[in-house]
Amino acid sequence: MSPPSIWYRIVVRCRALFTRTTAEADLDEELRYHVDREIERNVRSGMSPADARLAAKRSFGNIGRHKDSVRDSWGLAAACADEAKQNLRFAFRAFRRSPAFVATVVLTIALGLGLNTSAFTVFDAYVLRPLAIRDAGSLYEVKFHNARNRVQQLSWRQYQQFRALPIASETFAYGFVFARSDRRTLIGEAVTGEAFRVLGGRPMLGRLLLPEDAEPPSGENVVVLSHDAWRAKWGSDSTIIGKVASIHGLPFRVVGVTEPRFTGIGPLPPDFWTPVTAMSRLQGSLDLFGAGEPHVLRSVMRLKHGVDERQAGAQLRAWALAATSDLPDSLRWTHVDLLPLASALPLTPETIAIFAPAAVAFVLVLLIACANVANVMLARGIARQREIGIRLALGAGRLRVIRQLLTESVLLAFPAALLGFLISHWTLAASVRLMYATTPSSYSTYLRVMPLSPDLRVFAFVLVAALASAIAFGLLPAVQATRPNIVQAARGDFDTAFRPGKIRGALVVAQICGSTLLLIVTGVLLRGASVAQHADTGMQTSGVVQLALDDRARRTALERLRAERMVTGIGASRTPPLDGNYPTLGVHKSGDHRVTVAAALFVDAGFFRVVGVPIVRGRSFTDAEERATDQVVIVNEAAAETLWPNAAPLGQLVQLDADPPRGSALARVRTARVIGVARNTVAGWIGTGIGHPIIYYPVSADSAGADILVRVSGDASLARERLDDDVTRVDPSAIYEIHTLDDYVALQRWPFQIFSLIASALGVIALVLTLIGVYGVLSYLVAQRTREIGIRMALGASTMGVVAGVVRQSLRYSVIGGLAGLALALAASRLFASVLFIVDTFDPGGYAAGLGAILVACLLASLAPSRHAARVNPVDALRTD
Amino acid sequence: MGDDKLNLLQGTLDLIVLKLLRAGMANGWELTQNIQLVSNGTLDVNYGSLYPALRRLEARGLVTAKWGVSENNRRARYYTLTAAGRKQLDVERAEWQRFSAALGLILESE
Repeated sequence: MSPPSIWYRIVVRCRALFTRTTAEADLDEELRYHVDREIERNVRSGMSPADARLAAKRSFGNIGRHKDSVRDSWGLAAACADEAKQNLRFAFRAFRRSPAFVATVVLTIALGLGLNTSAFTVFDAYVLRPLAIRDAGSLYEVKFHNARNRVQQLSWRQYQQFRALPIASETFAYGFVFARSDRRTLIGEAVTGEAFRVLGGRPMLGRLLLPEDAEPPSGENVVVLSHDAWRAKWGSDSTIIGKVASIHGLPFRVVGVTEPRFTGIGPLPPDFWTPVTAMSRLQGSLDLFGAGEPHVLRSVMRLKHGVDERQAGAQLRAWALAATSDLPDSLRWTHVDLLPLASALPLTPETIAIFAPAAVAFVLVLLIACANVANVMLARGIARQREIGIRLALGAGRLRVIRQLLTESVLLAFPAALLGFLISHWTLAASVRLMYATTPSSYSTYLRVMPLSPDLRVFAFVLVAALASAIAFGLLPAVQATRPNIVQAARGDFDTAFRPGKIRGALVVAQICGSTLLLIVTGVLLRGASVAQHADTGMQTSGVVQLALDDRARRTALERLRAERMVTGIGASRTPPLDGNYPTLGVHKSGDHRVTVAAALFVDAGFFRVVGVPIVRGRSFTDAEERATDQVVIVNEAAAETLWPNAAPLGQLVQLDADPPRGSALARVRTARVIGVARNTVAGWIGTGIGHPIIYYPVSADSAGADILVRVSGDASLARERLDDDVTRVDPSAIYEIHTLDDYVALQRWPFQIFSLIASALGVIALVLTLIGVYGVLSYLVAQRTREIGIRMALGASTMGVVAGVVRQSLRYSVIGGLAGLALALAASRLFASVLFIVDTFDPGGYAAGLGAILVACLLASLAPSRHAARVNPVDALRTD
Repeated sequence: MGDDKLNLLQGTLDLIVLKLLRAGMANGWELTQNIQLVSNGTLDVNYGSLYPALRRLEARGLVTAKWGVSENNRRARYYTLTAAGRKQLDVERAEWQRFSAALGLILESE
């Protein structure tokens, strides 16, 4: 279909929108009737028909003016509608004449809008969109922190007290459960019976959980699947209700599937919900209702009407202090957070601070696109100068012409919005796919993405952003184009009064400045990603597989592992060595109360062998020490240096600074003797680097909760599958998680990769837009100065000199814009230096790369125009005009 | 425009139209003819102001318009006085009479 016919149809539709047309036709007919009667009368009084017509017309006067005055009587709104109609018609006519211009503008703006819409859709899905639960606005998750600022969970007994507090109209509690089903890891929520009544979700199949499902102490093994899990992991089986699903080796009767929108209360929609009574069975943990009183419940409440967050917070804090009065001060619950569940992520200053830098980067790309279009429009304004000048000379008001030109901008913004919307749809789909593709494969089952479907807010955003960009790229050219002296314009002489070159130059410099900023950020992030990629963990991570075992099956699983021929070594660690956490602990040496913050790990002697960390001084743990959790400790070199800079560390005593929780493993090692010094490694997270103090306490592979690390011969990924098969065959519920240690490392590097990917995409787009912008301005300058160049060449200027002139202009832009961008980047770096790890925000390489890219782009952009300038034939040039 | 013809006083056209429509419905052309006829050709109505005036009266709800058939069998737009128009005519006529009486007093006084 050719563009005019599309435009034509749109015009017809638009016209139909204005009921004014009928009024206009009415007026036409009425006036025609009047004139006809007048002619008739004149004929009757003896005139010839031609004379009669003339006389009638003369007596009637200017019909157009009469119509105008009638239109005036229709009032302002009607007049505006009328003008809008004219503007529209005029704009469409102008577009039909220059489809290439329309395509350029629409594509450029659509690109910028598309990227921004994608970003906004993500923000909307996580922060703005209310969760699909009943009255989400009054629902809060309550987080209790102890004096050391660690989040604490409730015991069943505490939850009963919590429920009875007079501030909540409804409550429920839940705990996360990890389970394996068919060798895939599932994340579930074990909920108390009233959970779904509070959340108000609806089932798509079957029913949701009822209070009687979670009747303490045993309840029933029933499960409700989330729509996503049902689709992805149970193949959308529509007859699933009543069937038995094996979850973590236990039979669970499927009673329902939630509707697709329902994601529960957090940013990570779980795979299944099960009664809280099944929690201990699934986790093999202490009986929730037994004497052990495990603290595993997270609490959610709906505030009573008339109770505000502050009152609730005060009451909860008072209760928490009372409930923990028997604990040492450092462990009492001193701080309560009410986390609103209105959206997946609460709309707090912290959330905004996280999204803001990304928002700035995306908006910058849109602005660069707008600057490009503004430049094209300016050039077009010059081409249309004669037309605009004549319209002004004929008495069109300047504002009227500006409105006309803005109408064109707005009209261009609408198709751009539509296309941008499609682009955002594609980018989002591609991004999610990219996310899954770049995640270490054994982790992709953990990935959870909120549904990223557009809603009304997204539509509104596209429209508002499109209109805002229309103003951004249209206003300046419109004001500029209507500026010149009418007389000069009518003569076609603009060179003296009209200097759009300056504005175009300023726009290009601003563009270069924005692009430089984006490119420096890209450079810095890429350098960070590369640093992260090559960051030394201090361990030999390849060839190691890590397993989290169900304690009930620990013995069988360990026996099986020891019997494997490919396993060459087994170690244990209570905290996974590279899972991104670094459990810190305040310690001091005996007799000196200055506190050193160190990472505390419980490991066995096998750990050091499996991950390849040599004991450089002293010895490793003995079997007996591990079993008894003896009061011995191995420190790494960094800890040794920090604690005893001037003394031999072996034989020294390490004391905990604060009271550990009663009955915990730490309580047994309050004072421990150093028996060995280990080589430095990272402390759980590559971001800490390998110089962080670490203290190793002994633990045995047989003790509950210890992760198992095995060194295997051959490929670790293959070994992981084999081990998974073999152990699962012995006991289907033995394994909670099994990953290669390299996957843990890859997962830690992943955010750096993703951020540098996004930044690269933005940077490249900005760079291309800038390149086009610089090229456009230089081409225009050369075209405008063809005559001047011709004269210069006629007067003996060399071709080289002319080329140098164009290149110099380009360099001038890039240097000014580049320096401004550099200054902005430095300012931003100061802001972010403290919150980023690994990424050196002042990395000279990143800065150099960003600036270099801009410089090269500007030089490239000046190639074609300078060649054009060099080819100017003086004789031809002087003949123009 | 000859000296024998008078220009309309500002604001009087509405009153004239309302008065003429009192007698029954009429189209725009008939109204111009009637004005000339009734005023013995003294008043010359600028067509450019008649039609806006009609639209204005229509918008104020003083007259209504509908398409009808004229005496020469053509479609013409006929205007009818509404009840509100009648009331408005009385008000404006009274006002005009007071005004012209007052003006007469001033001009006659010596």
